[in-house]
Parts: sequence; structure tokens; C-alpha cells
Amino acid sequence: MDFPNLYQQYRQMTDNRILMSFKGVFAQPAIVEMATALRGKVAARTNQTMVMKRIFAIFVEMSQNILFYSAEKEVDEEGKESGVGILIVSEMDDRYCVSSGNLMFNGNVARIRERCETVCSMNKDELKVYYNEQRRLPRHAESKGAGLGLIDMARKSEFPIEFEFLPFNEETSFYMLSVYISKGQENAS
Amino acid sequence: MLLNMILERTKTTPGITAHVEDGIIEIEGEFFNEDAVAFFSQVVEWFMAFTTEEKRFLSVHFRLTYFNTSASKCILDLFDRMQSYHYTSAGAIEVYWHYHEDDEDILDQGKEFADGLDMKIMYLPYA
Repeated sequence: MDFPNLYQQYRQMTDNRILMSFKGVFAQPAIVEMATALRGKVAARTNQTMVMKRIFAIFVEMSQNILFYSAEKEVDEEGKESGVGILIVSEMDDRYCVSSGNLMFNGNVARIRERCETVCSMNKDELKVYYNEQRRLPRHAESKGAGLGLIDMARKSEFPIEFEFLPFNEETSFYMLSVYISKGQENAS
Repeated sequence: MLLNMILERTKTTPGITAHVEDGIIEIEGEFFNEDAVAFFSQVVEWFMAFTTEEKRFLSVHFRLTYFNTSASKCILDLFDRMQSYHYTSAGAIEVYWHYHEDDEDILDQGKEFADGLDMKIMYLPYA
């Protein structure tokens, strides 16, 4: 083991006030455990239930996005396939940040980027209309998700979502998404 | 003959109590399971059986604290079906949306399900 590197990672995560960090397979049982633990961690830091509930909701949507849509998959012993990715929850002075990253086939990048840009350009009322329109569309046959996660996350946040795509290899790009939740009135503390 | 349906609440799925004789469905808890369609199809199936076989008064109680976007699509489908039953049997259904008094998000979500539907929903805060 490269101990200086391990030390660096630990140091960095401490300095960045990481509440939770996971890189690996986002299988549903793991998501349940992490989401439950995260709820406890945030609850210990804030008395604002809505802040806790929104972080929880964003964590679930991001995790399940990775589970369903990551281009990188692993199959467990029962033959069940789950997506691989990274998810980090961190604390800042005035807000919490939930970030996810996962591989995406290059062919999907333009469509997802456009969706991110659309969501980014909308105010709360427009997001509401867009969400309710999209919710009325039929589900894609191969998809267990509803395609609503991104819009829902943007609606829960007081800040614009942030996203970026970086080339990973010939076939895939690394898709990154950050959503912020304001600490609200606790700022002073 | 339609039977009562009781599904125990789990970490990721709400408890369901669907009672034939009382004509009541209660959905209580939170949903973040990976397969919303599979879970909610049980409720839809029971609802469809009740409304076609029993054709009696039905009250539906939602007492949810969280549900993911995939479940939200399923709940909307349920609202559409309740609306149809309301139309065909004029007032034979009552829908109650219970929300924690501090949880504005759940209240808003309940109101959005009712948007565009011509059916009265009762919003009831609890402490």
C-alpha cells in the first residue's frame, strides 16, 4: 500500500468535510444502508428536517441513477446487475453538497448534457411544469427509473445544479453531477 | 372473491392495508425500493379488483414521508385510476393525503398529484 497516498486521501477528505464517500457497486442493499446512515449523520448536524429529507432524497436519486444507468456494471453471485460509480456528500459553510460520478457511453452524452442544460436554465415554476410533463410520459420499457431524478433534484435545491463530462476512454465519458442543499437559518452557527 | 391485502412496512416500502369490508386502502411509510412498478402494481391490482367487483365506496389514505421519483410516477397512475372511479361512480371515492405539519415538500407533492384532476383531495396535517 502506498501509505503517503492513503494519508493524502484521508487528509483531503477530512479537510473537505466529507460526510460520506463511496466508490463501488451501487447495489440496492448498499444504497439502503448508506442512505439510512446518511440520514442519521445529517440529523445529528441539523435540526431542520427539510434539509435532512432533501439531502436524503438527492442521495437516493443519484444512487439509483448510478444503479440503473452507469455504463460500468457488476454482476453479483445471483446474476443481478448493478451500476458502478462514486458518490460523495460533503459539508460547506452554508450548504451541503451531494456529488455523483459514473461512466456513460459516449452516445448518450449529448442527450444527457442537453437535459442538464435544460434543467439548469429553468426557474422553480418552469421546473415544476417540466417535471409534471415528464411524469406523464410513458416509461421506457427497459428502464426501471422514471427519468425524473434530475428535475426532482434541481427542484429540491436552492442552487443551480452543476455538471460536467470528461472523456474516460474510447467508449465512455465520466459524468459528474453536483447538487447543493442550503443549510438555511442555521448559517450563523 | 377479493381478499384483504396487508403488506408489512419494510425499510424501503410502505405498509399497505387494503380492507374489503371497510372499503379502505392505507399506504403508510416511505418508498425508495429499486422497483416501484412491481410494488405499486399490487396496489393497483387490488384497487382495480375492488372497483370492478365490489363497486362500493372506497377511501384511500396516503401517509407517506418519502418516495422516490419512480414511485411518484406510480402514485400518479393511481390518482388517475381514482379519478376514473370518481367519474364513473360519482363520489364513491374519498382521498386523504396525510402529511407531517412541518413537511411542506410532501404537502406540495400531494397537491401536484391533484393538479389537473377533478377530484377533491383532503389534506390532513399530523404532528
